[in-house]
Amino acid sequence: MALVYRRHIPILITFIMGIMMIVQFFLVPPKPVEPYQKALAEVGEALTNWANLLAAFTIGFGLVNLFFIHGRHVTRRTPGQWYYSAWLLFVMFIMVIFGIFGDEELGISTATTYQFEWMYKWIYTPLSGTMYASLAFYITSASYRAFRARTLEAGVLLIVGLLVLFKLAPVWQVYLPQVIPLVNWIYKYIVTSSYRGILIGAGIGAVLLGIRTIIGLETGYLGRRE
Amino acid sequence: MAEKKSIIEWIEAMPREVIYTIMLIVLIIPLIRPLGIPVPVSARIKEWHEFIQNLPEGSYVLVSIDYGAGTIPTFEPFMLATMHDLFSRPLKIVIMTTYADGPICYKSVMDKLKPEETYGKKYGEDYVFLGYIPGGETAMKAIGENLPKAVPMDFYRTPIDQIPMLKGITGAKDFAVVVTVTPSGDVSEGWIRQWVTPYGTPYLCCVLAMMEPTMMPYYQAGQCKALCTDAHAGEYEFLIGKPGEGIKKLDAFSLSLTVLAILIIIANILYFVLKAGGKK
Repeated sequence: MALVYRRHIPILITFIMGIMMIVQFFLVPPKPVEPYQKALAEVGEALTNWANLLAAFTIGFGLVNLFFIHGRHVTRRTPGQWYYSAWLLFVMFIMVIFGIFGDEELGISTATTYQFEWMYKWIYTPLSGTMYASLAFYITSASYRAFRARTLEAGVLLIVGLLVLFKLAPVWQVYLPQVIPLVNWIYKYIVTSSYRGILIGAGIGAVLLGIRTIIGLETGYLGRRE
Repeated sequence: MAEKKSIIEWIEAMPREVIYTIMLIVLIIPLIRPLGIPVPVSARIKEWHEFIQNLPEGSYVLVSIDYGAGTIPTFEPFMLATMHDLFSRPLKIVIMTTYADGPICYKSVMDKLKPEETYGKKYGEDYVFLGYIPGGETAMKAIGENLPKAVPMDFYRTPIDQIPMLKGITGAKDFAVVVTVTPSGDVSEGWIRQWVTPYGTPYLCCVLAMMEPTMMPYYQAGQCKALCTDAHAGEYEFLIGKPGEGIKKLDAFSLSLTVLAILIIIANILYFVLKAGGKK
């Protein structure tokens, strides 16, 4: 019986929902006319809105999950971890408290209350931006070491890489405009054709994965098998 | 005892701390003292600007602020320039986000734009903010199908049917264009899958410079009417005459990329010198 609840019923739900969405996508035009088209459109809209509600719910679920995972680290005093977990919980608590009970004098949604916004703007944004910007230093160091014309292929990669750098730098767009048509040609014919191949391959893969999931051959989303 | 390295060997294997320092200096100098390097205006940014300028009066535009805090320094200049371009025209602008921290990014842009003071626009009549709509691509599909049903109220909790500019708006087929600024491939391609393919809505997309090749097939196929990157922000500001953060960063951008290219060339020359000397 447990197998029915854990496996067969979820697979059946997935099958019905998947088929409904496919039918709705292929049989309902942007402006439904026939009664069956209108009915399918209604069902499709309802299912899509359910999915959005579930997505919103997962944010709250993530918060609870983080609380339990890091709470466990703190209570067990996990070496090398517990103080990071404690800090995370403290900061999370502060953000949630100010997000919900912050200054409401503007009469607007909680996400823009003054204290929440202040912390976001002056703490989270600079930290997040710094993490992102530090990539520039790593990329420079990595390029200096890795971009070597050791082989013919590496040489070609090096030349194209340098051309793209010249194209991206505004100063070279002004003083070395001859490079732009060349890079555009590379983008237009070589890069795009390669990406088309990748996209078509990924698209076919996604279709196959979808079919396998709908007919119950792909069950990774059900979690661990016991 | 380790063999002493020659100066060429040392430069060829330059310690990363030295490279970081060079890059730091190169980035800081133009920010403190701008070099005044000329600003080029590329065809891509002209295409973006012309598309907005050619929209018929009263057209509905969906702007999705699809970036978060980490990319505010990167994307906000472009988003702000786009907003200036849009708000300077008699258009109806519907703004939303598929990022949880998008509302903060919206507020940051609007605080700088000041649509009421600068352009005389009224909230609810000329523009509206729907807030964060969770679900990613499913959210795009939902608002495309039936906007009032998917988003029953705006960010400030006003029911959609009480917002004058949204009366009669049902979904994607009412919009003249959808605009997104995003560092996410799922988002940039998601709008194509959920709005461009089923409804034929014209699409303007701004992504990270490194993502440009991934969007090129859609751009060449005409599914994306204009494709720009965060690196175009300075050009856009210059084009519309609204200098801001983008232009300030252009000199640092130019100089850092040039220094990176020079470093790579030097490293290769030294590599071949050492190889000729039998040391590689």
